[in-house]
Amino acid sequence: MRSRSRHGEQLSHHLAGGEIKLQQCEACDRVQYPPAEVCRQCLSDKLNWQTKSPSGRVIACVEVHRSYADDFAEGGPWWVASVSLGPGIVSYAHTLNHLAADTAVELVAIQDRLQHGVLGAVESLDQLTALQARFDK
Amino acid sequence: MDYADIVLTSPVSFGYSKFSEHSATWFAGNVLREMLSDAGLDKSAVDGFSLSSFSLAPDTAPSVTESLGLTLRWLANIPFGGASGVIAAKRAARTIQAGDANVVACIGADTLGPEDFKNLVANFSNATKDASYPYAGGGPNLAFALLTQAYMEKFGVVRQDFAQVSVEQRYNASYYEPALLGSKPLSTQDYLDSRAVVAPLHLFDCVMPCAGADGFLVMHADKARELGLAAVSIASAFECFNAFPDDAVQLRVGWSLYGQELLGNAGIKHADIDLMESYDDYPVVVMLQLEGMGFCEPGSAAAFLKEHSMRFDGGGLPHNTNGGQLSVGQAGAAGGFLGIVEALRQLLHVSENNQVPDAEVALVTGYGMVNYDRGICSSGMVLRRQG
Repeated sequence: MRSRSRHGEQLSHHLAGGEIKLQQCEACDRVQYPPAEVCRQCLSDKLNWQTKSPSGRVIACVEVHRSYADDFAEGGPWWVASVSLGPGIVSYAHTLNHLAADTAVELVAIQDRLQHGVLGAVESLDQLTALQARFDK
Repeated sequence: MDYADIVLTSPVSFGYSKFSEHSATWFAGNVLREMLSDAGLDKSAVDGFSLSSFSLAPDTAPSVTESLGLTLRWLANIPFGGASGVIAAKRAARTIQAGDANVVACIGADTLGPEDFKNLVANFSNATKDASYPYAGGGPNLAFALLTQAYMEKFGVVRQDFAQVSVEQRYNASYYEPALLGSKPLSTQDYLDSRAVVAPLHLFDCVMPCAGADGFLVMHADKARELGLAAVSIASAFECFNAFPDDAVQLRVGWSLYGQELLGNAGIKHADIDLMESYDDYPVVVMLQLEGMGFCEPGSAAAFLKEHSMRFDGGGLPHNTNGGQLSVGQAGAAGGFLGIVEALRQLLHVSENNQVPDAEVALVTGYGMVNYDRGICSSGMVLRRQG
Protein backbone atom coordinates (compact mmCIF):
# COMPACT_ATOMS: atom_id res chain seq x y z
CA MET A 1 0.00 0.00 0.00
CA ARG A 2 1.37 3.38 -0.96
CA SER A 3 1.09 6.10 1.63
CA ARG A 4 -0.75 9.31 0.72
CA SER A 5 -2.15 12.26 2.63
CA ARG A 6 -5.91 12.41 3.24
CA HIS A 7 -6.30 14.76 0.28
CA GLY A 8 -4.00 12.66 -1.82
CA GLU A 9 -6.23 9.66 -1.12
CA GLN A 10 -9.25 11.63 -2.33
CA LEU A 11 -7.46 12.69 -5.48
CA SER A 12 -6.38 9.13 -6.19
CA HIS A 13 -9.89 7.80 -5.45
CA HIS A 14 -11.43 10.13 -8.04
CA LEU A 15 -8.78 9.21 -10.60
CA ALA A 16 -9.29 5.50 -10.01
CA GLY A 17 -12.94 6.07 -10.89
CA GLY A 18 -11.88 7.65 -14.17
CA GLU A 19 -12.58 11.22 -13.12
CA ILE A 20 -10.12 14.10 -12.89
CA LYS A 21 -11.09 16.29 -9.97
CA LEU A 22 -8.82 19.08 -8.80
CA GLN A 23 -9.14 21.27 -5.77
CA GLN A 24 -10.62 24.69 -6.40
CA CYS A 25 -10.84 27.40 -3.78
CA GLU A 26 -14.38 28.50 -2.99
CA ALA A 27 -13.17 31.95 -1.95
CA CYS A 28 -10.79 32.93 -4.78
CA ASP A 29 -11.46 30.29 -7.49
CA ARG A 30 -7.80 29.29 -7.74
CA VAL A 31 -7.21 25.70 -8.83
CA GLN A 32 -4.32 24.06 -6.99
CA TYR A 33 -2.21 20.98 -7.37
CA PRO A 34 -0.87 19.01 -5.54
CA PRO A 35 -3.84 18.97 -3.18
CA ALA A 36 -3.46 20.66 0.20
CA GLU A 37 -5.63 21.72 3.11
CA VAL A 38 -5.39 25.48 2.59
CA CYS A 39 -5.49 27.62 -0.54
CA ARG A 40 -1.95 28.76 -1.39
CA GLN A 41 -3.30 32.04 -2.74
CA CYS A 42 -5.86 33.32 -0.23
CA LEU A 43 -5.41 30.85 2.67
CA SER A 44 -9.06 29.83 2.69
CA ASP A 45 -9.65 26.27 3.80
CA LYS A 46 -12.83 25.97 1.74
CA LEU A 47 -11.51 23.82 -1.08
CA ASN A 48 -13.87 21.87 -3.30
CA TRP A 49 -13.14 18.99 -5.67
CA GLN A 50 -14.20 20.14 -9.13
CA THR A 51 -14.32 17.95 -12.22
CA LYS A 52 -11.83 19.21 -14.79
CA SER A 53 -10.66 18.24 -18.25
CA PRO A 54 -7.23 19.80 -17.95
CA SER A 55 -5.03 20.48 -20.89
CA GLY A 56 -1.53 21.85 -20.64
CA ARG A 57 1.92 21.95 -22.11
CA VAL A 58 4.85 19.67 -21.39
CA ILE A 59 7.61 21.37 -19.43
CA ALA A 60 9.91 18.35 -19.62
CA CYS A 61 9.70 14.60 -20.09
CA VAL A 62 12.10 12.02 -18.70
CA GLU A 63 12.73 8.30 -18.83
CA VAL A 64 12.78 6.44 -15.50
CA HIS A 65 15.13 3.47 -15.69
CA ARG A 66 15.67 3.01 -11.99
CA SER A 67 12.85 3.44 -9.51
CA TYR A 68 12.68 3.38 -5.73
CA ALA A 69 9.15 1.86 -5.97
CA ASP A 70 8.86 -1.92 -6.29
CA ASP A 71 5.89 -1.73 -8.69
CA PHE A 72 8.08 0.11 -11.19
CA ALA A 73 11.06 -2.24 -10.89
CA GLU A 74 10.06 -4.08 -14.07
CA GLY A 75 8.51 -3.08 -17.37
CA GLY A 76 10.52 0.11 -17.77
CA PRO A 77 11.66 2.48 -18.82
CA TRP A 78 8.73 4.60 -17.68
CA TRP A 79 8.14 8.04 -19.12
CA VAL A 80 7.04 10.83 -16.83
CA ALA A 81 6.35 14.43 -17.83
CA SER A 82 5.92 17.62 -15.87
CA VAL A 83 2.98 19.51 -17.32
CA SER A 84 2.16 23.19 -16.88
CA LEU A 85 -1.57 23.56 -16.32
CA GLY A 86 -1.47 27.32 -15.76
CA PRO A 87 0.43 29.86 -13.67
CA GLY A 88 1.89 28.11 -10.65
CA ILE A 89 0.22 24.76 -11.39
CA VAL A 90 2.47 21.87 -12.40
CA SER A 91 1.47 18.21 -12.43
CA TYR A 92 3.53 15.12 -13.05
CA ALA A 93 1.92 12.60 -15.37
CA HIS A 94 2.72 9.26 -16.97
CA THR A 95 3.20 9.39 -20.72
CA LEU A 96 3.32 6.76 -23.44
CA ASN A 97 6.68 7.85 -24.79
CA HIS A 98 9.01 10.81 -24.83
CA LEU A 99 7.34 14.16 -25.43
CA ALA A 100 9.25 17.27 -26.39
CA ALA A 101 9.00 20.45 -24.34
CA ASP A 102 5.95 22.55 -25.16
CA THR A 103 3.94 19.63 -26.58
CA ALA A 104 0.22 20.23 -26.02
CA VAL A 105 -1.29 17.44 -23.90
CA GLU A 106 -4.56 16.40 -22.29
CA LEU A 107 -4.52 14.97 -18.78
CA VAL A 108 -6.29 11.63 -18.36
CA ALA A 109 -7.12 9.40 -15.41
CA ILE A 110 -5.48 5.97 -15.36
CA GLN A 111 -4.92 3.19 -12.84
CA ASP A 112 -1.40 2.09 -11.96
CA ARG A 113 -0.30 -1.45 -11.11
CA LEU A 114 -1.53 -1.04 -7.55
CA GLN A 115 -4.94 -0.02 -8.94
CA HIS A 116 -4.36 3.47 -7.60
CA GLY A 117 -5.66 6.37 -9.65
CA VAL A 118 -2.93 8.54 -11.19
CA LEU A 119 -2.61 11.11 -13.95
CA GLY A 120 -1.53 10.47 -17.51
CA ALA A 121 -0.77 12.96 -20.26
CA VAL A 122 -1.56 12.19 -23.91
CA GLU A 123 -1.30 14.15 -27.13
CA SER A 124 -4.74 12.90 -28.15
CA LEU A 125 -7.39 11.03 -26.20
CA ASP A 126 -7.19 8.00 -28.50
CA GLN A 127 -3.83 7.21 -26.82
CA LEU A 128 -5.51 6.64 -23.46
CA THR A 129 -6.04 2.91 -24.03
CA ALA A 130 -2.41 2.34 -24.96
CA LEU A 131 -1.20 4.29 -21.95
CA GLN A 132 -3.48 2.36 -19.60
CA ALA A 133 -2.29 -0.90 -21.16
CA ARG A 134 1.26 -0.21 -19.95
CA PHE A 135 0.01 -0.64 -16.41
CA ASP A 136 -2.23 -3.63 -17.09
CA LYS A 137 0.64 -5.97 -17.91
CA MET B 1 23.62 44.86 10.63
CA ASP B 2 26.82 43.03 9.79
CA TYR B 3 28.40 40.01 11.48
CA ALA B 4 31.76 41.62 12.13
CA ASP B 5 32.16 40.53 15.74
CA ILE B 6 31.27 36.88 15.15
CA VAL B 7 33.53 34.08 13.92
CA LEU B 8 33.36 30.43 12.91
CA THR B 9 36.01 27.99 14.13
CA SER B 10 36.88 24.33 14.50
CA PRO B 11 35.44 22.69 11.36
CA VAL B 12 35.08 18.92 11.71
CA SER B 13 33.93 16.21 9.30
CA PHE B 14 33.36 12.82 10.86
CA GLY B 15 32.55 9.24 10.05
CA TYR B 16 31.61 9.31 6.38
CA SER B 17 30.55 5.79 5.41
CA LYS B 18 28.13 4.18 3.00
CA PHE B 19 25.98 2.79 5.80
CA SER B 20 26.11 2.90 9.59
CA GLU B 21 24.55 0.96 12.45
CA HIS B 22 24.99 3.99 14.70
CA SER B 23 22.35 6.65 15.38
CA ALA B 24 22.46 10.28 14.27
CA THR B 25 23.11 11.11 17.94
CA TRP B 26 26.32 9.06 17.83
CA PHE B 27 27.49 11.08 14.84
CA ALA B 28 26.56 14.36 16.55
CA GLY B 29 28.35 13.37 19.75
CA ASN B 30 31.54 12.46 17.92
CA VAL B 31 31.58 15.70 15.96
CA LEU B 32 30.99 17.74 19.10
CA ARG B 33 33.82 15.98 20.95
CA GLU B 34 36.24 16.66 18.10
CA MET B 35 35.18 20.29 17.78
CA LEU B 36 35.65 20.90 21.52
CA SER B 37 39.02 19.16 21.43
CA ASP B 38 40.12 21.40 18.55
CA ALA B 39 38.97 24.53 20.37
CA GLY B 40 40.31 23.49 23.78
CA LEU B 41 36.88 24.08 25.24
CA ASP B 42 35.00 22.20 27.91
CA LYS B 43 31.52 20.99 26.97
CA SER B 44 30.07 23.31 29.60
CA ALA B 45 31.15 26.30 27.50
CA VAL B 46 28.62 25.37 24.81
CA ASP B 47 25.34 27.10 25.61
CA GLY B 48 23.81 27.03 22.13
CA PHE B 49 23.25 24.08 19.80
CA SER B 50 21.94 23.93 16.26
CA LEU B 51 21.21 20.48 14.86
CA SER B 52 20.33 19.46 11.31
CA SER B 53 19.33 15.87 10.62
CA PHE B 54 16.82 13.77 8.67
CA SER B 55 17.42 10.61 10.68
CA LEU B 56 16.80 11.57 14.31
CA ALA B 57 13.34 10.05 14.70
CA PRO B 58 12.05 9.08 17.17
CA ASP B 59 14.61 11.33 18.86
CA THR B 60 14.53 15.12 18.64
CA ALA B 61 16.97 17.99 19.14
CA PRO B 62 16.01 18.15 22.86
CA SER B 63 16.60 14.41 23.28
CA VAL B 64 20.01 14.73 21.62
CA THR B 65 20.73 17.62 23.99
CA GLU B 66 20.10 15.30 26.93
CA SER B 67 22.01 12.40 25.37
CA LEU B 68 25.08 14.59 24.90
CA GLY B 69 24.81 16.00 28.42
CA LEU B 70 24.46 19.59 27.28
CA THR B 71 22.82 22.37 29.25
CA LEU B 72 21.72 25.10 26.87
CA ARG B 73 20.04 28.46 26.69
CA TRP B 74 19.44 28.23 22.93
CA LEU B 75 18.54 25.20 20.80
CA ALA B 76 17.64 25.10 17.11
CA ASN B 77 16.50 22.33 14.80
CA ILE B 78 17.23 23.21 11.16
CA PRO B 79 16.50 20.21 8.96
CA PHE B 80 16.59 22.28 5.77
CA GLY B 81 18.58 19.84 3.65
CA GLY B 82 21.26 21.44 1.54
CA ALA B 83 20.60 24.93 2.85
CA SER B 84 21.10 23.89 6.50
CA GLY B 85 24.76 24.73 7.13
CA VAL B 86 24.72 28.34 6.02
CA ILE B 87 21.38 29.00 7.72
CA ALA B 88 22.62 27.42 10.95
CA ALA B 89 25.73 29.63 10.90
CA LYS B 90 23.74 32.76 10.14
CA ARG B 91 21.18 32.20 12.87
CA ALA B 92 23.82 31.19 15.41
CA ALA B 93 25.71 34.42 14.67
CA ARG B 94 22.58 36.52 15.18
CA THR B 95 21.80 34.67 18.40
CA ILE B 96 25.24 35.45 19.80
CA GLN B 97 25.00 39.10 18.71
CA ALA B 98 21.66 39.32 20.55
CA GLY B 99 23.28 37.96 23.70
CA ASP B 100 21.16 34.81 23.79
CA ALA B 101 24.16 32.46 23.71
CA ASN B 102 27.95 32.66 23.82
CA VAL B 103 29.22 29.54 22.06
CA VAL B 104 27.01 27.71 19.59
CA ALA B 105 27.83 24.27 18.20
CA CYS B 106 26.34 23.85 14.70
CA ILE B 107 26.14 20.22 13.61
CA GLY B 108 24.69 18.31 10.68
CA ALA B 109 24.54 14.59 11.44
CA ASP B 110 22.83 11.73 9.66
CA THR B 111 22.98 8.00 9.79
CA LEU B 112 21.86 5.65 7.01
CA GLY B 113 20.74 2.04 6.99
CA PRO B 114 20.31 -0.03 3.82
CA GLU B 115 16.56 0.68 3.44
CA ASP B 116 16.52 4.18 4.94
CA PHE B 117 16.92 6.21 1.76
CA LYS B 118 14.14 4.31 0.02
CA ASN B 119 11.82 5.05 2.95
CA LEU B 120 12.87 8.71 3.03
CA VAL B 121 12.06 9.08 -0.67
CA ALA B 122 8.65 7.42 -0.32
CA ASN B 123 7.62 9.63 2.62
CA PHE B 124 9.56 12.87 2.17
CA SER B 125 6.52 15.18 2.25
CA ASN B 126 2.78 15.01 1.65
CA ALA B 127 3.24 16.59 -1.77
CA THR B 128 5.80 13.97 -2.80
CA LYS B 129 3.60 11.17 -1.48
CA ASP B 130 0.56 12.45 -3.39
CA ALA B 131 1.96 13.86 -6.59
CA SER B 132 5.56 12.72 -7.16
CA TYR B 133 6.27 9.26 -5.80
CA PRO B 134 3.28 7.64 -7.64
CA TYR B 135 5.00 8.68 -10.88
CA ALA B 136 7.46 5.83 -11.22
CA GLY B 137 8.89 6.33 -7.73
CA GLY B 138 11.75 8.37 -9.06
CA GLY B 139 12.30 10.44 -5.91
CA PRO B 140 14.67 13.39 -6.19
CA ASN B 141 16.16 11.83 -9.33
CA LEU B 142 12.80 12.41 -11.04
CA ALA B 143 12.49 16.06 -9.99
CA PHE B 144 16.06 16.84 -11.05
CA ALA B 145 15.86 14.85 -14.27
CA LEU B 146 12.85 17.00 -15.20
CA LEU B 147 14.75 20.16 -14.24
CA THR B 148 17.86 19.02 -16.14
CA GLN B 149 15.82 18.14 -19.23
CA ALA B 150 14.05 21.52 -19.17
CA TYR B 151 17.41 23.30 -18.78
CA MET B 152 18.92 21.32 -21.67
CA GLU B 153 16.03 22.06 -24.01
CA LYS B 154 15.81 25.74 -23.10
CA PHE B 155 19.51 26.50 -23.39
CA GLY B 156 20.74 23.89 -25.87
CA VAL B 157 22.96 22.25 -23.26
CA VAL B 158 24.05 18.62 -23.78
CA ARG B 159 25.14 15.83 -21.40
CA GLN B 160 28.81 16.43 -22.06
CA ASP B 161 28.41 19.94 -20.62
CA PHE B 162 27.34 18.53 -17.26
CA ALA B 163 30.23 16.07 -17.25
CA GLN B 164 32.61 18.87 -16.29
CA VAL B 165 31.03 19.14 -12.85
CA SER B 166 31.19 15.44 -11.97
CA VAL B 167 34.64 14.88 -13.48
CA GLU B 168 36.38 17.93 -11.97
CA GLN B 169 34.83 17.34 -8.57
CA ARG B 170 36.07 13.74 -8.70
CA TYR B 171 39.54 15.11 -9.33
CA ASN B 172 39.22 17.26 -6.20
CA ALA B 173 37.95 14.26 -4.25
CA SER B 174 41.03 12.27 -5.17
CA TYR B 175 42.94 14.70 -2.92
CA TYR B 176 40.44 14.49 -0.03
CA GLU B 177 40.85 11.24 1.82
CA PRO B 178 37.36 10.96 3.44
CA ALA B 179 35.57 11.22 0.06
CA LEU B 180 33.81 7.89 -0.36
CA LEU B 181 34.32 7.87 -4.13
CA GLY B 182 37.65 9.70 -4.15
CA SER B 183 39.69 6.63 -5.01
CA LYS B 184 37.68 5.93 -8.18
CA PRO B 185 38.93 8.06 -11.07
CA LEU B 186 36.23 9.42 -13.37
CA SER B 187 36.77 10.47 -16.99
CA THR B 188 34.38 12.28 -19.29
CA GLN B 189 33.97 9.04 -21.21
CA ASP B 190 33.14 7.15 -18.00
CA TYR B 191 30.52 9.79 -17.29
CA LEU B 192 28.99 9.56 -20.77
CA ASP B 193 29.04 5.74 -20.79
CA SER B 194 27.42 5.28 -17.37
CA ARG B 195 23.98 3.74 -17.09
CA ALA B 196 20.82 5.80 -17.23
CA VAL B 197 19.05 6.34 -13.91
CA VAL B 198 16.29 8.79 -14.85
CA ALA B 199 17.40 10.00 -18.28
CA PRO B 200 18.83 12.51 -18.94
CA LEU B 201 20.41 11.79 -15.53
CA HIS B 202 22.93 8.97 -15.53
CA LEU B 203 24.85 7.36 -12.69
CA PHE B 204 27.48 10.06 -12.19
CA ASP B 205 24.90 12.86 -12.11
CA CYS B 206 23.47 11.42 -8.90
CA VAL B 207 24.82 11.61 -5.37
CA MET B 208 25.38 8.48 -3.34
CA PRO B 209 23.41 8.63 -0.07
CA CYS B 210 25.62 7.91 2.95
CA ALA B 211 26.08 8.44 6.68
CA GLY B 212 28.28 11.17 8.09
CA ALA B 213 28.48 14.39 10.04
CA ASP B 214 29.99 17.86 9.87
CA GLY B 215 30.11 20.75 12.30
CA PHE B 216 31.71 23.99 13.43
CA LEU B 217 31.64 26.38 16.38
CA VAL B 218 30.31 29.95 16.35
CA MET B 219 31.44 32.50 18.93
CA HIS B 220 32.52 36.11 19.51
CA ALA B 221 35.77 37.04 17.83
CA ASP B 222 37.09 38.02 21.28
CA LYS B 223 36.36 34.56 22.63
CA ALA B 224 38.24 32.92 19.73
CA ARG B 225 41.22 35.23 20.33
CA GLU B 226 41.17 34.37 24.03
CA LEU B 227 41.30 30.68 23.10
CA GLY B 228 44.04 31.28 20.53
CA LEU B 229 41.83 29.89 17.77
CA ALA B 230 42.26 30.63 14.10
CA ALA B 231 38.91 31.86 12.85
CA VAL B 232 36.84 32.86 9.86
CA SER B 233 34.40 35.76 9.80
CA ILE B 234 31.01 36.04 8.11
CA ALA B 235 31.14 38.86 5.57
CA SER B 236 27.49 38.51 4.54
CA ALA B 237 24.68 35.96 4.47
CA PHE B 238 21.14 35.35 3.31
CA GLU B 239 18.45 32.71 3.48
CA CYS B 240 15.41 32.48 1.21
CA PHE B 241 12.40 30.22 0.94
CA ASN B 242 10.00 29.52 -1.95
CA ALA B 243 11.36 32.10 -4.39
CA PHE B 244 9.54 32.50 -7.72
CA PRO B 245 6.72 30.08 -6.86
CA ASP B 246 4.86 30.68 -10.13
CA ASP B 247 7.77 29.81 -12.42
CA ALA B 248 6.78 26.66 -14.30
CA VAL B 249 10.29 25.25 -13.89
CA GLN B 250 12.87 26.25 -11.30
CA LEU B 251 15.53 27.95 -13.38
CA ARG B 252 15.69 30.83 -10.87
CA VAL B 253 16.19 30.31 -7.14
CA GLY B 254 16.87 32.62 -4.17
CA TRP B 255 20.37 33.49 -5.42
CA SER B 256 18.71 35.47 -8.22
CA LEU B 257 16.95 37.56 -5.58
CA TYR B 258 19.74 38.04 -3.06
CA GLY B 259 23.01 37.05 -4.74
CA GLN B 260 24.08 40.54 -5.76
CA GLU B 261 23.15 41.91 -2.34
CA LEU B 262 25.23 39.13 -0.77
CA LEU B 263 28.34 40.20 -2.65
CA GLY B 264 27.57 43.90 -2.13
CA ASN B 265 27.16 43.50 1.62
CA ALA B 266 30.49 41.68 1.72
CA GLY B 267 32.09 44.49 -0.28
CA ILE B 268 33.42 42.10 -2.90
CA LYS B 269 33.19 41.40 -6.61
CA HIS B 270 33.20 37.99 -8.28
CA ALA B 271 36.93 38.28 -8.97
CA ASP B 272 37.62 38.54 -5.22
CA ILE B 273 36.24 35.05 -4.56
CA ASP B 274 39.04 32.53 -4.09
CA LEU B 275 36.82 29.47 -3.91
CA MET B 276 33.18 28.47 -4.06
CA GLU B 277 31.36 25.64 -2.36
CA SER B 278 27.94 25.06 -3.89
CA TYR B 279 25.27 22.48 -3.20
CA ASP B 280 25.73 19.72 -5.72
CA ASP B 281 23.02 17.11 -5.47
CA TYR B 282 23.02 17.18 -9.28
CA PRO B 283 25.27 19.07 -11.76
CA VAL B 284 22.42 21.27 -13.01
CA VAL B 285 22.02 22.72 -9.51
CA VAL B 286 25.71 23.72 -9.47
CA MET B 287 25.09 25.53 -12.74
CA LEU B 288 22.00 27.31 -11.41
CA GLN B 289 24.07 28.56 -8.46
CA LEU B 290 26.80 29.95 -10.73
CA GLU B 291 24.16 31.67 -12.85
CA GLY B 292 22.04 32.87 -9.93
CA MET B 293 25.10 34.33 -8.23
CA GLY B 294 25.91 36.28 -11.38
CA PHE B 295 29.13 34.57 -12.45
CA CYS B 296 27.51 34.14 -15.86
CA GLU B 297 24.21 34.57 -17.67
CA PRO B 298 21.37 32.04 -17.33
CA GLY B 299 22.12 29.00 -19.47
CA SER B 300 25.82 29.78 -19.85
CA ALA B 301 27.34 27.97 -16.85
CA ALA B 302 28.72 25.21 -19.08
CA ALA B 303 30.69 27.76 -21.08
CA PHE B 304 31.80 29.45 -17.83
CA LEU B 305 33.07 26.13 -16.47
CA LYS B 306 35.07 25.49 -19.63
CA GLU B 307 36.98 28.67 -18.90
CA HIS B 308 37.06 28.42 -15.10
CA SER B 309 38.32 25.07 -13.87
CA MET B 310 36.67 23.76 -10.72
CA ARG B 311 39.87 22.02 -9.66
CA PHE B 312 41.41 23.19 -6.40
CA ASP B 313 44.69 23.64 -8.24
CA GLY B 314 43.33 24.52 -11.68
CA GLY B 315 43.80 28.26 -11.62
CA GLY B 316 40.12 28.92 -12.36
CA LEU B 317 37.41 29.16 -9.73
CA PRO B 318 38.19 26.34 -7.26
CA HIS B 319 34.76 24.86 -6.59
CA ASN B 320 33.57 22.01 -4.38
CA THR B 321 37.17 21.52 -3.46
CA ASN B 322 36.74 18.24 -1.56
CA GLY B 323 34.69 16.66 -4.33
CA GLY B 324 31.32 17.80 -3.05
CA GLN B 325 28.49 15.42 -2.43
CA LEU B 326 28.87 13.92 -5.89
CA SER B 327 32.16 12.40 -4.75
CA VAL B 328 32.13 12.54 -0.94
CA GLY B 329 28.56 11.23 -0.59
CA GLN B 330 25.33 12.85 0.58
CA ALA B 331 24.86 12.41 4.31
CA GLY B 332 21.23 13.58 4.56
CA ALA B 333 20.90 17.05 6.05
CA ALA B 334 24.60 16.90 6.96
CA GLY B 335 25.14 17.23 3.21
CA GLY B 336 24.06 20.82 3.75
CA PHE B 337 27.11 21.31 5.99
CA LEU B 338 29.66 19.78 3.64
CA GLY B 339 30.30 23.01 1.73
CA ILE B 340 30.60 25.40 4.65
CA VAL B 341 32.85 23.06 6.62
CA GLU B 342 35.10 22.55 3.60
CA ALA B 343 35.22 26.33 3.08
CA LEU B 344 36.27 26.80 6.71
CA ARG B 345 39.13 24.29 6.33
CA GLN B 346 40.25 26.07 3.17
CA LEU B 347 40.17 29.54 4.75
CA LEU B 348 41.92 28.30 7.89
CA HIS B 349 44.57 26.75 5.59
CA VAL B 350 44.21 23.36 7.29
CA SER B 351 43.19 21.36 4.21
CA GLU B 352 45.71 18.59 3.80
CA ASN B 353 46.20 17.71 0.12
CA ASN B 354 43.56 19.86 -1.57
CA GLN B 355 44.45 23.27 -0.18
CA VAL B 356 43.66 26.25 -2.41
CA PRO B 357 46.79 28.44 -2.12
CA ASP B 358 46.32 31.70 -0.20
CA ALA B 359 42.54 31.26 0.15
CA GLU B 360 41.10 34.40 1.76
CA VAL B 361 37.47 34.69 0.57
CA ALA B 362 34.96 31.89 0.01
CA LEU B 363 31.41 31.84 -1.30
CA VAL B 364 29.15 29.10 0.05
CA THR B 365 25.70 28.54 -1.43
CA GLY B 366 23.03 26.13 -0.27
CA TYR B 367 19.85 24.63 -1.68
CA GLY B 368 17.43 22.11 -0.33
CA MET B 369 14.12 20.47 0.43
CA VAL B 370 12.29 19.38 -2.69
CA ASN B 371 8.76 19.42 -1.37
CA TYR B 372 7.34 18.51 -4.79
CA ASP B 373 8.95 19.72 -8.02
CA ARG B 374 11.54 22.22 -6.73
CA GLY B 375 13.86 23.03 -3.85
CA ILE B 376 12.21 25.38 -1.36
CA CYS B 377 15.26 26.58 0.59
CA SER B 378 18.27 28.50 -0.66
CA SER B 379 21.08 30.28 1.11
CA GLY B 380 24.37 32.05 0.59
CA MET B 381 27.29 33.21 2.70
CA VAL B 382 30.57 34.98 2.07
CA LEU B 383 33.32 33.93 4.48
CA ARG B 384 36.61 35.71 5.01
CA ARG B 385 39.83 34.48 6.62
CA GLN B 386 40.67 36.60 9.64
CA GLY B 387 43.95 38.29 9.01
